[in-house]
Amino acid sequence: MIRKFKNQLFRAMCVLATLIGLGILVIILFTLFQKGMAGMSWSLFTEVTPGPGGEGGLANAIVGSLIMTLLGIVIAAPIGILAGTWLAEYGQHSKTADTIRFLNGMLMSAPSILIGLFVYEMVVVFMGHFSGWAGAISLAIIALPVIISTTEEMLKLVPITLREAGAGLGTPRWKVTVKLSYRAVSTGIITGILLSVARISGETAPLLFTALNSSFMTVNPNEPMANLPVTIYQFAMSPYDSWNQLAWSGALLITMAILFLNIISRVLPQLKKRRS
Amino acid sequence: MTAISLRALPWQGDDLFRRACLTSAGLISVLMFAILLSLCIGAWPALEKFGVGFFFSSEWNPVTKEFGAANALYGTLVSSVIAVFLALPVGLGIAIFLSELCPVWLSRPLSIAIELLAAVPSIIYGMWGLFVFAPWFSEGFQVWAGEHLSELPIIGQLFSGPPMGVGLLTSGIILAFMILPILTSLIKEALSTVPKVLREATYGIGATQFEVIIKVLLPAIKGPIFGALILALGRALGETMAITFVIGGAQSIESSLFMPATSISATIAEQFNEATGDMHISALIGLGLVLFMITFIVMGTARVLLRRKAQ
Amino acid sequence: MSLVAQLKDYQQPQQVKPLVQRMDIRDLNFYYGKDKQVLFDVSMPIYQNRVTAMIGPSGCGKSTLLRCLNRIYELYPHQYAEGNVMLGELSVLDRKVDLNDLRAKIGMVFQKPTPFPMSIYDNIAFGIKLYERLSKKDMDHRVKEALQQAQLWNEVKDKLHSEASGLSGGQQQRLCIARTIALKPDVILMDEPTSALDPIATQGIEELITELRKEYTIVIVTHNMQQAARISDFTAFMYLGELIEFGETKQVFQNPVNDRTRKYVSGTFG
Repeated sequence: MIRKFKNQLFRAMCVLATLIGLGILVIILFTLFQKGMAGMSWSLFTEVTPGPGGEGGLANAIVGSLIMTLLGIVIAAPIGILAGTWLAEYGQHSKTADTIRFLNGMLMSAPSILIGLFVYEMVVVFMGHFSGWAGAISLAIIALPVIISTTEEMLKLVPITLREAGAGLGTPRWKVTVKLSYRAVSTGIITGILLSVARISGETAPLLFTALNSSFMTVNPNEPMANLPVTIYQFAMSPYDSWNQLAWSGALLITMAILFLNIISRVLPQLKKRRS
Repeated sequence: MTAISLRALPWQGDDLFRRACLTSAGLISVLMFAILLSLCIGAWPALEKFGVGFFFSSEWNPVTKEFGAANALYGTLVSSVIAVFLALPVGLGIAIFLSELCPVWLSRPLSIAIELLAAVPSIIYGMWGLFVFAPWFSEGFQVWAGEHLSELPIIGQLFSGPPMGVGLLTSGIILAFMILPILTSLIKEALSTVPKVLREATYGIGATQFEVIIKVLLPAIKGPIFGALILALGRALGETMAITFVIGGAQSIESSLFMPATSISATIAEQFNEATGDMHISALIGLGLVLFMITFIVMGTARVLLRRKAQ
Repeated sequence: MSLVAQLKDYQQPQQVKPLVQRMDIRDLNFYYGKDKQVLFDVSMPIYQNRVTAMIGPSGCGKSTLLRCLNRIYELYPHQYAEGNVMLGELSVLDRKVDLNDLRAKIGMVFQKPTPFPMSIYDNIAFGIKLYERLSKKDMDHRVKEALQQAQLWNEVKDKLHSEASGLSGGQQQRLCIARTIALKPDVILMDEPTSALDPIATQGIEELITELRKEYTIVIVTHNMQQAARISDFTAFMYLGELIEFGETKQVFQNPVNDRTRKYVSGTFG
C-alpha cells in the first residue's frame, strides 16, 4: 500500500511540475495579451515614440529593430555558413576544428551584455557615437555561433553517397558542397537562421550601449537607432502611463513575432518531409 | 590506343572556397580573443588602481570613485544558485513526466510548449516579474514568510525584511523559470539514452514506476544531470534584463533574501550609459571581465562534463 | 534457372567492333592506412565496348579495385594506391592528373541510387554545366539524348522539372546512369548498381547495360553471379585482394582454370 501511495504521489509531483512549467508560459502570455491588447491600434505602427507622457506609437522602434535584425543576419549568415562548412567539411576532427568548436560554444554562451560591451569598445568608441551599425554588429555576433553550429550539424547529415556521386561526375569539391550539400539540407540551414533571427530580435542588453535608442524615425544605420527591446525597457521603467502602455504593446508584439518564428522553424522541416 | 586530350579546366574555386571557409571559422577564435582582450584593456585602469581588492571590496561609490565587485558578484552568484536549486526539482519532474509518464501523443506538444519558454525574451520575463510576479509574491509569500519563517533560527534571517516583492529571492525565482526549458530538455535527452532493457528488467521484478525512476534511471544519468545543472548555472549567471527589472538595484550585501541587491549584469546595464568618468566605466568593464571569466569557467566545465558523458 | 542454362540462353550480340584494350591495370596495390593492404598486385585489361564484371565474395576487394579506376577513394584520407592504371596513355594514378577531368572521363554509378536534390532535368544538366556552356536549346537536346540513352525519356518527359527524388528506385538509378553518360565518358564504372533494386528494375538496368555497351566501356562490380553471367563479356574473379582469374565470361563460368574460381561459380563457397 505504501509503495503504491508513494508511486501515486510521485506521479502527482511530476504532473505538478509540468503544470508549473506550462502555467508560467500561459500566465506570461495571458499577461501580455491582457495588458498589451489595450494599446493595439494603427497608431502603434504609424506614429513614432512620444515624449514623456505623450501619445504615440512604436513605428520608429519597429523599423529600427527590423533594420538591425536584418543587417545582423546579413552579416552573420554568410560567415556562419562558411565557418560551419569548414568545421564539417575541412576541419572535421582536427585539433584546430575542436578548438574552434569549443570557442564557438563559449561564444554562444557568453552573456549577451558582454557582447554589447565589446562592440561598444570596438565600434562605438571608434565611430565616436552610438549607431545602428554597432547594434547590428552586436546582434550578428550573437547570431553567428548559432548559425555555425546548426550549419555544421546539418552538413554532417548529408549522406556520403551524395558526395561520392557528386565527385564521381568530376564535380569540384566546393561545388559538391555549395550546389549539392547545401541544397540537400537547405531546410535545416534556413531553420537555423530563423531560430537565430528569433533569438536576436528579443535581445536587449547588447543594444543598450551600441544602438542606444532614438525617439526619431531613422533608417540610417550611422545614427543611433530606435529599437523595440530598449524602448520597451525604458518605457516599462518609466512612471508615465502612456509609456507603460506602449511597453506592454511592444512586449506583446515582439513575443508574438518570436513565438511565431519559433513555431515556423519547427513546422518547416516537417512540411518539407511530408512533401517529398 | 588513342591519346587522351584532357579538357583544360581551371578549378581555382576549390582553394578559394576552402580559404573563405577557414577564414570564417578562424574569425571565431579572433572574436573570442578580441572580446577577452578588449575587456582586459577596458578594465585595466580600475584593476590597476584597486588591485586584487577590486574583487573583494563591497564599496561601490561613483561619487568618491571607489569601486569593488563584491556586491554585484554576490548578487550574481546567489541569485543563480537559488535559480538552479529551484529549477532542478521542477525540471526533473517535467522531464520525467514527458519522457516516462505521459502518453506519446501528448509528449511532443508539451515539450514544444516548455521549449517555447526559452524563446520568450529576457526583457519579457523582467516586465512580467516586476509588474505581475513581484506584487503577488510580496503579498502571497513574503508577508506570510515574514510572520512565520523569520522567527526560525538561522534560516529565519534569510526570510526577514520588508515584503518589497523585488530582491534576490525574486531574481532567483525568475531565473529559475528562464533556465527551466534548457534543464528539462537536457535531462530528457539524458533519460532517452538509458537503454530500454534496464527499465524492462526493473519493471520485470515488480518495481513501481517510482522505484524504477528513482533507483535505476536517475542514478544512471546523474553525470549528465550534473552537467545540465552546471550549464543552466552558466546561463543564469549571464542573464541581464530580467534581473535588472527584479533585483532592486541596491549596491549592498544583506543577509535577507528579500532585500534588494544587484548583479554584475544589472549593474552594467543600469550604469554604463550614465557612467560618470573613466574610472566608473573601467570598473564596469572590470565587472564584465569578472562575469566573462566566471561564465567561461562554468560553461567550459559544463561542456566537458556533458561531452564526456555523451561518448 | 541454373547458371549453365542461363549461359546457354545468353545471346552474344554480334560483336561488330574489334577487341581493343581501353584500360590497363598493372601491379596495383591498395592500402587503407599504412598497415592494411587490401589489393595485391592486381593486373588486368579492360576492353573497349565490352562489359567487364568483377565478382568475388564480399571483402575480396572488387569494389576497392573499381574505386581505384577513378580515384574516388581520394575522398577519404589515409587511402592510397600504388602501381599503374592506364587509360590510353593517361596514367590515372599520376598525382598531376586533374581528378575532376579524370572522373568526367571515367564515370561512376553507385550502389544506392543517388539523385541530386533537384529536378530531373537539372540532375542531367548539372554535370554538363561543369564542363560546357550550352545554349538552352543545346542543353535541352543533350538532356533528352542522355535520358533516351538511359531509356528513361518516355517515363519522365512530362515531368522533367519535378524533383528527382519522386522517381522510383529503378528510375532513379537510370537517372544516375543518364547523368553519367551525359558527360560522354570513356568508361563507366558501376558499383553493384542493382543491389538496392527489385527484380523488375534490375532487369531494366541489365538490359540498359547491354544496350550501352555499344557505345561505352563498362566495368561492373556485382555480388550476383547470375548477373555477371548474363551481362558481361569478361569476368574477373577476386579473392582476398588478389585477382584469381580473368577471362571471357563463358570461359570463367564454364571452364574455370583455377580451382577456387570453380568452387565459387559453382556455389560451393562464397
